[in-house]
Amino acid sequence: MSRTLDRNTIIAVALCATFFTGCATQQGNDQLKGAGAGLLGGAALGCLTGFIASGHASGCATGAAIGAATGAVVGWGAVRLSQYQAEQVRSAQDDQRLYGLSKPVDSTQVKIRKGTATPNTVRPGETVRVATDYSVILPQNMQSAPVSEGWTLKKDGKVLADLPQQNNQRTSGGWSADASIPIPTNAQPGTYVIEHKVQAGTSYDTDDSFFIVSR
Amino acid sequence: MRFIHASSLGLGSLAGLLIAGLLYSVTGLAALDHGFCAGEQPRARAALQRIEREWPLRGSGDRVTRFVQSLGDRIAQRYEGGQSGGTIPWRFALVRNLAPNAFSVGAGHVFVTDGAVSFARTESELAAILAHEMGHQLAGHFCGSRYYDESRSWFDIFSSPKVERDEVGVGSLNQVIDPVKEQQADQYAVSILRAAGYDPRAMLDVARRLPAGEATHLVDPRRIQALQRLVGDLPPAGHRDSPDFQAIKSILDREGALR
Repeated sequence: MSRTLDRNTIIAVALCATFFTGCATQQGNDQLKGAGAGLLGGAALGCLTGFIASGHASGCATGAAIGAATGAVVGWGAVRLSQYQAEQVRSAQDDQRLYGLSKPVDSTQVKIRKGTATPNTVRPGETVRVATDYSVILPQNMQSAPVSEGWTLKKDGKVLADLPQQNNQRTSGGWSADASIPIPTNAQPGTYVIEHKVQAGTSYDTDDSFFIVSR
Repeated sequence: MRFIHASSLGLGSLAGLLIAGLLYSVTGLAALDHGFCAGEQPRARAALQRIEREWPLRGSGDRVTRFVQSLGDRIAQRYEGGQSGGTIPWRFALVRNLAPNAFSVGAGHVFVTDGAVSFARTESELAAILAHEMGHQLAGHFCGSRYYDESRSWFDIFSSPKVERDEVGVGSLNQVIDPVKEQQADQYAVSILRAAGYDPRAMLDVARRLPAGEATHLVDPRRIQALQRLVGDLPPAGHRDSPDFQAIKSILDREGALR
């Protein structure tokens, strides 16, 4: 009897964890949720595997512990963006000199100058640094405008993760936004694409950068 | 000494010269240079350089750009095939902006925003937007330096046609809006759409659906009346959207803005 109850509880935990993992994968922009989902998903799967393999509840506990540890770092659904930072790298005058910009007369414009991912080649478990260098061009009467920065990770044309979008006020000039992405330990070897996006009002720009995961 | 006989010029060149002469007599403009008005190409080049520096543009290899370029080429060929011209090197570029807008800068360069492509419900409507911009070029609206004050020349299908000529800011450039010229461009657009097998009523549909409530996006009743007179008796062409058009609409829906 107790064994039947245990099995029901375990299935409920597994379903709940699957639900959370699904949510996090779909939304993909909440690092805590992503990490939690990885941990929960790993624990539930480990518990289920342990229970089936050993036939008793202690197997579940052992499996859950192993699964939780693995789930926190495995899978793009749980990918996190860390060490985000942004700074103004050029004044409006610098941008004007460099790019010959003039003041827009109506609405804010953004233009990505360069999106990068470094290093070029990484191993699973290592970290990639993504950076977006962009210009913000504000109308005469505006001091600053809300700007959104975002990164999308793709492989073979499929979206693996939408990394947390950053929304901040920006003044005119050149800005650099960068962050680190830890590469999951089970990441498949191959070429990955980072789509850099910046948006202010209706004006937006994108740029692609690449990195290779090799074992 | 060599003499060039009229017969060696060909009909196209003769027609070009006649049009140039007509333009000169009507507008007092200098003679055409490679199919463009004198000074049009350097002025357009200056505007292009400024746009490329300041505006986020889709690359020429981008799928949406390729579709819009091929649509523009197709309607130009079908229209110009029945005309004496066909010498304008049309270049269509996509601006990454979600607000609907389209404009020409002369020398065959037309800009369309992502928002304008999204705004077009059918391929015929997108063809109408391009045809209108081509109409400004074909009507010789880029002749005369008064439209090029500091490379500030724009013609915009979505802009408010007021009674008087007006200027509206687009980026750091000003857009010239002249209701008379807008109606002239509409006339060309209807002819282009008919020649290309697209429904000419799409031009009217676009004009009726222009976003209301913004200073630069007002619906002009006179423009609509003029279009109604132009297309009222024409049979609908019944053009169906191509799979490529549907594909680029999906791409824009998917890409869109940051969520």
